Amino acid sequence: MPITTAHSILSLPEAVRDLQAQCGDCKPKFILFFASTKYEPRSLSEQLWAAFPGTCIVGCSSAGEIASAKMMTGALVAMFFPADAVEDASAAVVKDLHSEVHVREVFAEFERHYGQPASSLSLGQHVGLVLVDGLSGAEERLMEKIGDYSDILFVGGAAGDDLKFCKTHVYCDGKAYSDAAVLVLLRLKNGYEILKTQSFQLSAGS
Amino acid sequence: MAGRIKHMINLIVERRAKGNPLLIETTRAKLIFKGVHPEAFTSTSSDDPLLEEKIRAIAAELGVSLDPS
Repeated sequence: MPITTAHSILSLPEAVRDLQAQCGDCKPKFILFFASTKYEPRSLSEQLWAAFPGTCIVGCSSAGEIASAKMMTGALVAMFFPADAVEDASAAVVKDLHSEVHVREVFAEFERHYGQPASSLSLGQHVGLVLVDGLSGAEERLMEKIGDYSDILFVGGAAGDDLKFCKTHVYCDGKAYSDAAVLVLLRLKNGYEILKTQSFQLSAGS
Repeated sequence: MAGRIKHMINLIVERRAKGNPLLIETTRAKLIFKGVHPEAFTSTSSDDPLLEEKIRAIAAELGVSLDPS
């Protein structure tokens, strides 16, 4: 079963049903989603959690959404990772980013989930994702703390809010958070490769 | 005296990476993010107590002991 992507521009709750329909027979082990601020954060997170019970679900608010090479605004986009891509997933939230950033508890949660110390996890089979409140100003501090604690590669980005620069959200397992970051530790079936791309085009005036 | 800073940097990289080529690179990158560029120092770089203190703090953050093994 391949990794499936889906998108919807409908409002809640139809947008979630739309994603469910596009997911089809895929039984995701992990779902990553990005959502315009037109979706009320708590409702969105709760409805996705209810629609895909037992699945690790994380996401964040965005400023433009990309799916299948389409750039959208006002949309909800998602990637569904089946068990033959992601063997296991554990997500945890770092709260209160405005104060001192602590990741120890998050890694303790990962270690409980996987039943082994983070330092003993295979670097080729595990990768981390991080989504952070884009208005927290804590991105660098957070990444430094993660890097201090672990050698597992963490990739990710900052949540947006459709360029309003007022409030951004990260989502984890049915809840919505501000002033927070969500970290995910994925155990991959077949490892991973790093690829680079970029979504900008030279304009006529460049 | 010279070369103490380079020696400390090498110890951090060696002990954190444990010979893993990927970790050697990521540890060096972490040092750069923390404001210490490994390439900026050689075995002839002058010792600098203030910078050595900073590197000791970085080693502690990375969970690396700089004690002689």
